[in-house]
Amino acid sequence: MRENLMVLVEDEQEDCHLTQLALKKSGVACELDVVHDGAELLDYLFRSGPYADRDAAREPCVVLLDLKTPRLNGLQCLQVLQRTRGNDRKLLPPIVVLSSSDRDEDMFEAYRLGANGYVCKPVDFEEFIELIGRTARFWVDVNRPPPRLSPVS
Amino acid sequence: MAKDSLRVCCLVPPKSRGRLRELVTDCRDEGAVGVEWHLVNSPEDVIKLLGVEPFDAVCWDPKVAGTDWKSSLVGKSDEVCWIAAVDEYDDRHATELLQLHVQSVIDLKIVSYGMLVREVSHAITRSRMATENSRQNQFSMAHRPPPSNSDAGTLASVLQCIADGVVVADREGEFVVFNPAAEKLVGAKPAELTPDQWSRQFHLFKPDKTTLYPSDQLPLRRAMRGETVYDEEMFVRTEHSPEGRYISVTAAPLVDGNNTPSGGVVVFRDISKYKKNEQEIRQFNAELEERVEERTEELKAAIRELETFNYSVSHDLRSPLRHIDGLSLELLELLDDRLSEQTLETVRRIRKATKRMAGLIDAMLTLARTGRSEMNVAKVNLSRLSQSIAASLQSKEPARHVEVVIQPDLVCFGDRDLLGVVLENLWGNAWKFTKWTENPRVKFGAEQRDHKQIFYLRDNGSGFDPQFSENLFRPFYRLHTEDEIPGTGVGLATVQRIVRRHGGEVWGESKEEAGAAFYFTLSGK
Repeated sequence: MRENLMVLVEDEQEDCHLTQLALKKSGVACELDVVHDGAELLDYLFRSGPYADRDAAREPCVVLLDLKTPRLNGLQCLQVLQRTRGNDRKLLPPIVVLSSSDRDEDMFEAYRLGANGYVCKPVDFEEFIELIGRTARFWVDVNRPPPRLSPVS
Repeated sequence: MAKDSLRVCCLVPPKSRGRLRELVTDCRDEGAVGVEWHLVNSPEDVIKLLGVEPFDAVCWDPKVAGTDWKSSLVGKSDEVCWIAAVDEYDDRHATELLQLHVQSVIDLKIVSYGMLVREVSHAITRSRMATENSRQNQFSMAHRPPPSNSDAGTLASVLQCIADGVVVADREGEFVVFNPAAEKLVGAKPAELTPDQWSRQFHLFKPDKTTLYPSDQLPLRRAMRGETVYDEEMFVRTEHSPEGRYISVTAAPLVDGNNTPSGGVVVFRDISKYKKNEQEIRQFNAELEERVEERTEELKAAIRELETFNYSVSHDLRSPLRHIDGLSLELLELLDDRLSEQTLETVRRIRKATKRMAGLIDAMLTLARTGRSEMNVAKVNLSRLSQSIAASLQSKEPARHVEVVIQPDLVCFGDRDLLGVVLENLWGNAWKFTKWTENPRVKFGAEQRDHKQIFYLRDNGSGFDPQFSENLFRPFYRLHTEDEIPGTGVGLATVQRIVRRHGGEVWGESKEEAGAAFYFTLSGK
């Protein structure tokens, strides 16, 4: 079973804080794990490094990925995951880009590298609460996540 | 006789009659000085005498003493001035004489003895000058026979002074004419030369500078075969100009009275200067192109940099704004019921400011994008576009009643999306600035001025002070406070950029409190 759990990849303290606040205010019952860059996300997903002992039972239903993160940025992170996916029988959770960029180039690249969705962050906080609420509700309540293990194995 | 008098050998056969004999025998003692006549009886005597004594000139009447003996002397005794004194003068005769290398022809019919002496001494002087001017010029006839306007004389003068090289060859390839310009360009002609030696002798090459021109293909050879050749390019190297010159050669056949080929004429000129200029221009163009490419690359790099900057603006400036907005909302929550009306108002104003700034950033990015987005030019119906814009404005403010007048079927060619931005901005302004007007009215139409279609959007709103009309199109320039009329100040700047990209112009006209009108043109069909 997957938990009602989302992972947020975000380096900015205020963004982390406000996303958590918005999620809480949206009323969706959901936990939020925060990692600060792409490299940390890889450790998180593959249970390596500081996440070697991560609870095997807790698996996120979606990753909310910021594009501008230090070390490995969002697009680079997608690229690595796309390469890894092919030779891993264990499926990864869907990845949704959460960015303030509405540039066509960014959206094109994100989808090309296998993103499962793209959400633009608005400046207005009330709009943001609404948006986070709808996003969380879809991925947590509506969407059926991939099975943990390949049925073939 | 005076030492400096001229020695003239005069051929007057004893049995002959004629004016020359009369003049020199009967009158030579009339006292005219300067010429010492030596009368001889036969051409053989002339040749004999020339071999023994120095003479300044030989004078004879070809009709009386013939010309055959003179032909055998062509190329010899050239230091002597040959003077033909003829009783009856005509041009054809003159031409024949000139071909015999006669330097001067005197018409005896109209000269007295004194005049004859004068003519003879003039001829000698001219002949000496010509010899000095051009040592090897066999065809030197600076002199035109004074009494008659001889064609041959004129031709000779022309050939003498023309800058183009002129060479005439007879059907055997013997040079009949070889003017000084020709000599200058390809060198003097040697005494004996067969046509097959021409290329080697005159160093005639193909324009590649290295391939010797095949002698039988030379324009003059082709002309001798009846062909006409225009502007053939050649390269020639001579002792005088070892660096070589390019010449342009034109040749045409000569035909005789029976219309059979009798030789060829070739005219050529030095085109080295043109070739050099041409090459310089070509090189200059190549350099220019290279420089343009370099600059284009630089510009492209600069544009890429600007794009990156725009991206940073949109991304990096928006984030802190989002934070301010979110945090100020959180503040309200934390304070909860300890909120006064004043605190609420302050937070509201903070949030309004952040939104305004976000709007400015978006407007700025739109402005930047309209400047460089690709244009998809197609037929656009501006009337229909206006209709839908007006309808959407109306639906946003259902309480307002604005009379909308749109001239139907105004069509132009342009980018639909960009022209939509133009009309949205103009309609948006008209909508905003009529909000205090009692019976608001906005009209979209077109008029013809100087064969140009001018579109306009006219309203009866508050208008603007015409002294500021120039400023209206500057980015971020505003005539009203945010509270009076909301806006970013980028709308008209965006309009202007789009209109200019369509090759048109936009301007506004207004009297304050009497409405405003915005006009724009779009070039192209």
